Amino acid sequence: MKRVFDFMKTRAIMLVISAVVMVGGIAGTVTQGGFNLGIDFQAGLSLTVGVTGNVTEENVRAALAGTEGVQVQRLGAVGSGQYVVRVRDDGRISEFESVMTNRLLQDLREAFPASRVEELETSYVGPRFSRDMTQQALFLTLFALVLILGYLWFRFRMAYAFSSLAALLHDVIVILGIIGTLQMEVSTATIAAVLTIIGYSLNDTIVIFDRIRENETLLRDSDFRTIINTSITQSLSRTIITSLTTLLAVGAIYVFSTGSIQLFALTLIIGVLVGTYSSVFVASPALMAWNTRAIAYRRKRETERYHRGAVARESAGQAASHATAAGESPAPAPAQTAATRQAVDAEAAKIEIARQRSRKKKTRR
Amino acid sequence: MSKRLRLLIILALVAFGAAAIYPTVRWYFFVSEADKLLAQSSRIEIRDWAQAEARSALDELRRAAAAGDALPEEYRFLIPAAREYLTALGEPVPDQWSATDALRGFRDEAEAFTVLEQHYRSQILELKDLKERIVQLGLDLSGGISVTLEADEANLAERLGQQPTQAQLAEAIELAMEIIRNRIDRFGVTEPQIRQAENNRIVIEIPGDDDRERVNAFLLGRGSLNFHIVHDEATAQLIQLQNRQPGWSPDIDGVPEFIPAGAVVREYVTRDEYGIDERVRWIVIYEDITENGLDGQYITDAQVARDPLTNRPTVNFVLNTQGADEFALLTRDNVGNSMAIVMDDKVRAYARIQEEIPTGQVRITGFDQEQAANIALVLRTAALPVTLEVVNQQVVGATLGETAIRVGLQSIALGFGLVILFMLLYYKGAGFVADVALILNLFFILAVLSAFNLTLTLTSVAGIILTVGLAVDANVIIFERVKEEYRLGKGARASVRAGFDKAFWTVLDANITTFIAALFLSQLGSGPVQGFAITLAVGVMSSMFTALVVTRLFFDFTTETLRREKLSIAWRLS
Repeated sequence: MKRVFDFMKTRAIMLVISAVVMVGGIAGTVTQGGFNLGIDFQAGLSLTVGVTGNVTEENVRAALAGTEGVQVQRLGAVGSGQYVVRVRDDGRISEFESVMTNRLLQDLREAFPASRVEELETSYVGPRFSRDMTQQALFLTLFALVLILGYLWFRFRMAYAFSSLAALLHDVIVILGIIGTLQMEVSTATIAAVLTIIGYSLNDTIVIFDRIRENETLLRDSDFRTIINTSITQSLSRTIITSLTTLLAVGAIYVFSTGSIQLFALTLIIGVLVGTYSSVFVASPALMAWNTRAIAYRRKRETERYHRGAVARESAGQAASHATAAGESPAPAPAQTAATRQAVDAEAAKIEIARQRSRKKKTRR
Repeated sequence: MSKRLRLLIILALVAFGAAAIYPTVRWYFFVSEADKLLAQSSRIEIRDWAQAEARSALDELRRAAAAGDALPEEYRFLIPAAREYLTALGEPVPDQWSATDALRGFRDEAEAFTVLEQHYRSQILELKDLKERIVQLGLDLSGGISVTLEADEANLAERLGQQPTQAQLAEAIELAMEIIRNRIDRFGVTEPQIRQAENNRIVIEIPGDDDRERVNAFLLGRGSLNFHIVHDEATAQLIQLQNRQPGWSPDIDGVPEFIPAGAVVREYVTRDEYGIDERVRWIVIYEDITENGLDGQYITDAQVARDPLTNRPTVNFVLNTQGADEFALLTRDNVGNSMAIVMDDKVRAYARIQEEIPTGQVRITGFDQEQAANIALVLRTAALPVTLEVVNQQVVGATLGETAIRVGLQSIALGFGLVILFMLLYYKGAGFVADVALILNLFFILAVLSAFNLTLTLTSVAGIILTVGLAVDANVIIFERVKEEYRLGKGARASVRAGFDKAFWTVLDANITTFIAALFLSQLGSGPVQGFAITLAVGVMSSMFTALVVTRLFFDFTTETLRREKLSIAWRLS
């Protein structure tokens, strides 16, 4: 067997890093006054201009590039010389409408001194993404998450479901934190990118979890930490190749495109990296922590039951002076007759068999 | 499942896909710009165009017949109809068709005109139907049409009986936007952008192309609905004129002199089976609605019912008290005349008034079920809280800018190419199989988008990118498992079987969770998220299929049928 990397050794450090990035991202977003919402989410100015002469749509776009988040659309057929310019109102400029109109017209006049630039119509438009739609989107996302959780619970175990959810939340918080801190413009493309990342991260986590589940039965004698480490190691080549190919595709888009498409690609690159990281360093440690706790809990409960069994038998037989407390030690009390000891052993074996059965049931494929 | 059956299933799906993609390919690559433009206009416009074409064709034929020329090449489509008529009459069918022969092959010129018109119209209508079955490009990629609507404040004031407050107006516009949004959903226009603008305006941008028909379809009810008394005398004369002169139109031929002052010519339209207006004839109605008509705003309800005696569909509508009084007066004064229901200057229905209708409960008959349902709908939509008027309707370009789109699409293609190359280099023969699966995947996605006439936007392209990632991933999972088995020293066939079996649930679990997410997001009304979700949902299904069925078939074929003992799946393994 190949060498198994101990991924779980660094989990404390990784936890700190993740926490720092998440808190930093939230802080960075909040201190800068929230997200840099684009024209899709904010009200703004819609200005229709007429530009005479030999000016193309791309020229107009270039001339107005100085204004952040500006959107230029041709009006009418190619060569009509009419354009709709949209700028969102981020609330930083007072008397936004007149100031921005003048600025845009000024920019255009400077860029095309030979042309006549005319203001045809100005109006203040509401956001494209209404509040209703945002709420509906959030609601549906939550509902979908619950359903996914249910599916994982059914196919795996509760521990798996909640661990992958933890990784998912981690990814979304990190991504949104980065978007907010770097003040990248939030557009509909950003929504698509975040959704893409959710899909990718979930996919990545489940592949590793699937291996862990498989190894749980194959390596029953090993402890859970070894199982996780082995599983991650075994799926490592797949993790790397998949991330690599996805990054190859998205990286090409980032390098060669411009504007909102480039921004979209950048979000995806970050997302793929974060998603891959989280399945190894967030989801798996979460699963391990959950499992360790579950094992401890189960052991405690079994010990309790074991003693209760002993108490019942002893009270039926002889004086029960020693069976007072159900301590942590699973060792049987010394003053026991051979018969009771036998009964206790049988009980313990029964519990063990039942546990194995229930585990088998859950890990059945 | 046997390999042959699997192959058959795959081939059948590919054939379905090809059939679904065909309209899109044909539209974008094989239809001329002029024809596209024509196909995007309304049916009425197409009809006008076809009639104009038919008229000039008829003139051309007459001229050719007078000169004794042979039938021009472009009119040879008349021959079958003409031959049939001549044969029916028992007259000799000429070998060499002259223009005179062709004209003789019809009972009269009106019939020839009908055949000509039919020909030109069906040409364009076929393209129009084709357009219903293609993948449209979204507003961000190709632009679309922008419509500005304005709420009529005066009309609202009239209805409320007072000047509306700012809050009332805002609420009315909010409601109107909601109605429009619902209508757009119902008419299947995907990813429109609706924004509220100042001055009681609503700006709607619809992706795709300048198809006024669609716009009118969902803005139906925006305008006026009124009852007008029909000028029966002038109408009778006008109908005679239309019979004499097929294709007559007041726009081309001018309003005839016998139309009295105060009356106007309006087209009477019915909805054809596509739910689109088709002109039946022109009729003459009184223009004013104070003396010779009634405002439609008094309608409170409209339903389709059946006549208990004849069992034929009727439209029943109810007027409020004021409307009932005025309607009673109107019908009392006009017993024996006809009354027309006029919506947006088009006559939707007209019927003779049999007797005074005093109660405000009106029953109109004489339609089939479909028409009755449409008229009831029209009457109900008259109750739109605020009258909207189209103040501006224009074609807009892409939001992203042409260069950005071109470069973006090129870079996406490049990224895709890199992935294909990587798989080929890393997995050798198996990589080729994965690449085939990947391309098949794209093909299936486009086929489904095409089949459901969905809109392709930047966000759906994002969905496709994620799908490419997932499709590659499914193959990678499988290949890595096969490789593991192969390294253990198993034979090619055993490795493939074990690898696929072990990877099966992994691939399924990973994809089903993504599918659940996509399915829910696709329920999100209309908009960019929906585009993304639908593409993703389709992509997940097809990537599961290609990975578990197509790839598997390739492997089974090489290991079982060709009995290859070695797998070409990695460099260090042989």
